[in-house]
Amino acid sequence: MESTGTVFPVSGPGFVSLSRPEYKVLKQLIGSGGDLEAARAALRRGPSVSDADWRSALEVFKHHRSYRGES
Amino acid sequence: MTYGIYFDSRVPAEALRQALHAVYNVPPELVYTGPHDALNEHPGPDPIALITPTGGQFGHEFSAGDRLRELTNATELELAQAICRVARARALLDDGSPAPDYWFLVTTNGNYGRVQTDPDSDELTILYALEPITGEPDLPVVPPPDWSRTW
Repeated sequence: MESTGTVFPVSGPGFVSLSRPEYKVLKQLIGSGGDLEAARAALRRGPSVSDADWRSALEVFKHHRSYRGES
Repeated sequence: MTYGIYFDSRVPAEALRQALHAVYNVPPELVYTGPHDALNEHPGPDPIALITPTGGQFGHEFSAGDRLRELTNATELELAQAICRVARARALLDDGSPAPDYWFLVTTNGNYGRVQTDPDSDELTILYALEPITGEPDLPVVPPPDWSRTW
């Protein structure tokens, strides 16, 4: 719990810890409505996102309602 | 490794780019400054660092990855301290704890300490320091109770 009283999760069932670039990819996938090509295009020149970040984020995104079955 | 640092909006992005060049000799043309959605139209070479606007008091989001690390050999904190000293800026960066609203504030002279940001604000807004920070005499200090200390 933070000093303001805000409670935050650390671990638990269904809880996945993402790095900052993995989260950036996941946000883009959600923002692109599951359009993988559009998401890749948006982050194409981003210097902090790697192929490994895409793989991790996609594994999580598969559980999102916008997932279209692409990989 | 990645860099994710939020610099003081009062300092121009160009000053941050020039500081990166002055300290680490990073070619300015490899540091993109501008909106993130205009990055793909940027005519220059693929950048190794981005400085994009994000709004609020710490409205310059600095992001970079392994290529910058190879050039600078600096940790995220070291790089923030160096840029802050040269550009006379303050910055916020991840303190490494799981608490989403605990950050390191780096001051204009490179000192740093933990701060609490406002969990109800969409922008990064400092509420108070969690420990005394040299160079920030006007920032209220509210030491956290033991049950909320993550360090």
